[in-house]
Amino acid sequence: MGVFNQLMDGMITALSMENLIACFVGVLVGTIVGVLPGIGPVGAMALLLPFSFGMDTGTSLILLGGIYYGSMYGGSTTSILINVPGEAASVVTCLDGYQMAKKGRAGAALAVAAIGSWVAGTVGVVLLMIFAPPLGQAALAFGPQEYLGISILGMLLLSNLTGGSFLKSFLMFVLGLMVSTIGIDPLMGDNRLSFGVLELSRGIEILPFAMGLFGMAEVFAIAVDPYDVGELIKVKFKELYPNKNELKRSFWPIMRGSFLGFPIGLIPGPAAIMSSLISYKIEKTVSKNKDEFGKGAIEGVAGPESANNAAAAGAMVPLLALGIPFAPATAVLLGGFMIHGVTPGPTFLTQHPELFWLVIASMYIGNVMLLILNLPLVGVFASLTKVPSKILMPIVTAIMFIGAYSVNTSFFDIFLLIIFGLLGFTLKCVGYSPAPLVIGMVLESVFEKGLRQSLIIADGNFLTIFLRPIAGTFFGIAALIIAWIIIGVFRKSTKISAES
Amino acid sequence: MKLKKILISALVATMSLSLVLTGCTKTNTKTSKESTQAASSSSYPSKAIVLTVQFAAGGSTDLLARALAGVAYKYLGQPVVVENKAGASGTIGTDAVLKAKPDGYSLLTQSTGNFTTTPMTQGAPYDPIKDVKHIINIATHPILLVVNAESPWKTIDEYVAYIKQNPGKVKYGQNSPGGTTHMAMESFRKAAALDMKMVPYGSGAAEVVAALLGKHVDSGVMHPQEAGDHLKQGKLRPLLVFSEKRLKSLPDVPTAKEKGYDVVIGVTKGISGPAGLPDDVVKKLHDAFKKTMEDEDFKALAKNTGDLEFLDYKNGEDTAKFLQGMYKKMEPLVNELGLKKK
Repeated sequence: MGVFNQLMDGMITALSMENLIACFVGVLVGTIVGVLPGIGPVGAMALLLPFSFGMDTGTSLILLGGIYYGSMYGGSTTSILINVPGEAASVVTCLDGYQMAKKGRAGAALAVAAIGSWVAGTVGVVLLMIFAPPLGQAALAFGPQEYLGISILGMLLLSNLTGGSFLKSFLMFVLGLMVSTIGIDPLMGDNRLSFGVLELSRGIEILPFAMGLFGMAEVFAIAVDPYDVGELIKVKFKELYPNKNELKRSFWPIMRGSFLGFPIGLIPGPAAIMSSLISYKIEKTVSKNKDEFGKGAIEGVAGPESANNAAAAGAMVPLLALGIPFAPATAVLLGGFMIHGVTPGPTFLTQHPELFWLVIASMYIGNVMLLILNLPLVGVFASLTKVPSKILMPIVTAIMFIGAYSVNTSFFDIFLLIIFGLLGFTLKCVGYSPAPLVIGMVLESVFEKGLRQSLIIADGNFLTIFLRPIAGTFFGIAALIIAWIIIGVFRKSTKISAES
Repeated sequence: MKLKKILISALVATMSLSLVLTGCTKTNTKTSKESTQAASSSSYPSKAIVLTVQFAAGGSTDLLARALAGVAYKYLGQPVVVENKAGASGTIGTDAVLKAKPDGYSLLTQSTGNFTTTPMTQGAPYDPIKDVKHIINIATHPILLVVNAESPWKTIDEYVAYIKQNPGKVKYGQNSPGGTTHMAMESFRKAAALDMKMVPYGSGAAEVVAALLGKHVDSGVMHPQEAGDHLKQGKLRPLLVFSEKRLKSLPDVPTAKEKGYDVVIGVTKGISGPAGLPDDVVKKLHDAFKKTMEDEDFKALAKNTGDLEFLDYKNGEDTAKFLQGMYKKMEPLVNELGLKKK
């Protein structure tokens, strides 16, 4: 009963009218939810969960799954057009995508994001199909010590993501770490930095934070220094789509994003954001056009957008293979499974293979639907950049307010949006990039949990952390990087003293 | 031309103003007509009821709430809508409902921790005894002590013996710092005089299950539904259950009580509302949810979510008595462990 045969059986069931409609509704809702800043796949899946009660198990899983991976497509739209991340994972796309839009290449950015998402989504499903069980087992070998190693490595590699002064970036990074500690300590329940305000106990949500730093800050900046539409290059229809050069430059970033993003989905927590951050760093490091990054390099859109779609597929590995959800979205998917009496896990593949292959087959179909949905809309969306700023900015602000509110149905998040907007604007004025703030925010939970749990388990004996094979490798690489940086500093200073 | 501009700007201004005004009013969507109607409880319920789940979507409380909501409309005549308001170990959602208007349209999924240990260890802006009116208890989720099936301990006695021989070295994982599951394990530790290390895992039993399977901790405490497939497949071995009687689905697992450790702690799940709910509204809700519990459709859903076995009906007064008793029981333990909020 080869893999191919089972896939074909799944395909046939997936192509039934009912399942096709469920798939379409799922990916459509997912895209809309991804485009709209604020409400995310978790909210949408929770909303549609009751609808799925009456449906066939397979059909409801197709619907919920569609929302899940569909939202990874739409998130980049607002990031590119108005510097507002539609999904937390699309923050990185703001960096270069928005700059491309300012140069009149919004259509190209959107199209490349859609194509990259499609390739990565499909690659992700293939990898999921082939590697789910063994990868699931491998994911179990990662304990707190390994996550500590990964987060330290991430800190070293990502804290200077946007280049410029390392000190400035690191300062922002540490500030991000501090902001992330606000709220109830997830490990011991202490109320930290909440000053008695109940809303602060919940912690700072990443979405109002990122929307404020990027989107709101941009609104303030434009208010102070508005741009005229006439200054934007008049874009012809043909130029709305990426030209050959841009497509060529996007090819390898998409490939790298797809294959590297997938394993990152296995890490518990903010896997999609981490994968897009890592992809951005990799693309920047290996690119021949390093200087363009931050000013509108298409690799900076292609790579991260592919990576977050691949990570979404990767996050389904622990869910399907082990029945363990590592992210809130996969937790709702698990709920969807369970309410239909299916428990994903090791027996899922042996007891309900037809369900597994149905979901996989429908993921292929869903990704194609998403490509067809998103590509033609590129033109429509790109023309938004032609709207004069005095009309666009209030609309953007309204969208952000609604989006920030919708995350937790809380007015407090709107205050946060404005406060972080002011912070982001101030940073802009003094020449700091907000990206490291977001990185610090994202990495903090992984780092803190890994550190504290490792220390408890180690009982004060640090060696036990470093001597673990996988963790030790990460720490070793981190040590080498630090050594490399220090050597580089010495070389530079000896060069300067030699020249003087 | 100028008049047109003025008209348009006036229209835009009025529209935005009305948007802002509607946005600034309380989130309980009520028109003035309906709020006067709601006070007269003979017509209750006259519109949809919002059931707030104070935990994330997809969790065990959430699934139970959705199963209930899906069937309860039959007996209430109005839909029950589940809304998630997670954060701060459930205190944010709980507080939102307890401070809402007591008209029966804002309900909460009661979970033991929010009314016992969480206010003690973390603090809560509501009084867990005075601010709430418990309507009905639906289920009690038992707490299991599990180990990885590849571990050498086959019974709880072997495990306890091992821990006594290796004080301070054996680790257990839990995912609700200061919560009921954590307290259950700590009560057991105290009763058996065990020196163990506690590894906290924060949000979600998923991480504890993963840690157990990956052998990063030796044992863990969780609900049977959270252990899921792995329990059935024999990857995880349950050693002890902290309930009154042995579980029907796990007849070979001894209770702590029968082993001589007086630890009977489960996590109750029910429906509650703000204090001040009129008695007839409470009675209507109680009767409707009791009928829901006995409904075949609900039972089918509960079977899937794993709640069917743990259905544990208690009326509002008994629930209140139970929770207050639990509060008093947990207080000395919390103080002893040094977990009391300073």
